Amino acid sequence: MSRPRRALPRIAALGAVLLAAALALPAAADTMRERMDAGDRALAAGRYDAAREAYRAVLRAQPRNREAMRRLGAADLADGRLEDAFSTLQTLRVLAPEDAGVRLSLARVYREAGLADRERRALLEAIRLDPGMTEAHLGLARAFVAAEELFAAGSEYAWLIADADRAGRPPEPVVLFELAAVRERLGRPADAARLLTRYLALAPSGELADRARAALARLPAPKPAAAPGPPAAEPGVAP
Amino acid sequence: MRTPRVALAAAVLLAALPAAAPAQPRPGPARTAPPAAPAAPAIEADLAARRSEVTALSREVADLTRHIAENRKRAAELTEYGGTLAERVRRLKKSPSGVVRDAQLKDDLKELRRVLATLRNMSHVQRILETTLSTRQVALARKAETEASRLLDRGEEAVRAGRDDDAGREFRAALAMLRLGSGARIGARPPVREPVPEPTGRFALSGHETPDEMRELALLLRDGADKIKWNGALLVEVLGRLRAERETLEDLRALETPRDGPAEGALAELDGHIGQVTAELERLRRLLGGFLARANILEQQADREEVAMLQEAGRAATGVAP
Repeated sequence: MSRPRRALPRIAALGAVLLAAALALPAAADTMRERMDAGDRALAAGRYDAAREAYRAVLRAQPRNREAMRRLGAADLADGRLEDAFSTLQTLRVLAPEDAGVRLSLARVYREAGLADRERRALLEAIRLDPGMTEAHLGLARAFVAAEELFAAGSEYAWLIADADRAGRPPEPVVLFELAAVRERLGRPADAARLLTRYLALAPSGELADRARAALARLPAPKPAAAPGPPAAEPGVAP
Repeated sequence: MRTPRVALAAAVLLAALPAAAPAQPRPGPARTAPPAAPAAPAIEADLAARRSEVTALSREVADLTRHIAENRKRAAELTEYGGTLAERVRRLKKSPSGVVRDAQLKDDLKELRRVLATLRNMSHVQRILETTLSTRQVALARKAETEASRLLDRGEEAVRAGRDDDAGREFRAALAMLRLGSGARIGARPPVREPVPEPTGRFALSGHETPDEMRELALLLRDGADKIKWNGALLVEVLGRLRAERETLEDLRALETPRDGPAEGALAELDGHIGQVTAELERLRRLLGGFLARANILEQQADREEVAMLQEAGRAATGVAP
């Protein structure tokens, strides 16, 4: 057989391999996607073992699939397996050093582990990477409250309210409620009353609403609202 | 020529894999990658030595904590026993004297003195143990945190080298170490102290007080001064915390966009509060100075009057006219 003829079967074989691979790739991607979806469904239903198994199956095929790692960390954290969550998220932190979400998840692990200083550091890192990450700001505000750093806490809550104002949406009611508690503890009952009134306008029912009404009953009545104009800065923390 | 073609096909397949699954990083060295060269034995030995230091400190802290708890329990039992004894002594003192009663009272008083002396001694030992424990806890916290940082660094190196299983072990150990350090740091914190009501130091002097009465008043003033000092020390702690919070707010301000965000306002408010606390501290300093000065004056006056009385008594005894 001449040389070109001898090469033909090999070329055909290679073509077949490449074709099979090309056909298999979307199928593999579909399988991965299905596993991830299955994991997500299990995680949402609180079936943590099943969720972990689904994400691990993805990781067995693609050991550095960041999405699978992130979700595996979330499943472990939700299940209280702090060491496992920490290990996965730290690995992910090295692989994705600019990912603010990983820092936020790590902050949650630190909080669950009772490591307040580390939690704060991780939240600050998350904010440094993504200054608009509202969850990190809320986490930081709560961490400051826990550490009795009320001025810093007030600043973070006020940032969240200002951010909502900038976006033209109402702030999360819980932010108003928690800031009211901070302002009251700082000896600013009028600010607290104003914030609680605003809270009740946004969330008039529920346990927090009942507590807000109870607090309002003992706080001085807020002054009547000013004439319509540009949104006022949050009391006491504006320049 | 077969091998290069297969290798080429494999390379094509490998290169195609990340594209087939979006959001996948390019596969780097993975869990299945062969382990990198083990760390040098000297480094491992150093690491083991540091870990054994942490373990030894940890054990010491546990022993001290147990010892302190045992002492506290024993002191509580002795205090209760002492209370019972004191009550019996009071009853015996009220009952009519007699041979049996007197002997019993003598024995009980002797036993009560022994119990009180033991309690005093135990309290002294307890203070020493608590100070030692606090020092050990601070040392443990420092060592554990340093060790945790090293473990985190090693974990990072392992991830970069593709030794994910090693990295997992290092990270888990780091978390355990961080928790150990944090627990020790919390344990070393002094208990929360509450301010005491401020003494008024107001009492009218009739001008006819004896030296002993003056000294008693001076003692009251010194007791008040101690309370002021206590409250002042608490305020100094508050001031320290507020200054630390100020640094935190500075960090937040640096992160804020726009720059004149809420942290700026919070800083101004905090500065106002720091000013108030500083003014309050200054007021306490002046109050303390006043209490101590009045106590000194009363004591000096008592000394002078006592000397004068003694001189007068001396003259009266010798018949010398003043």
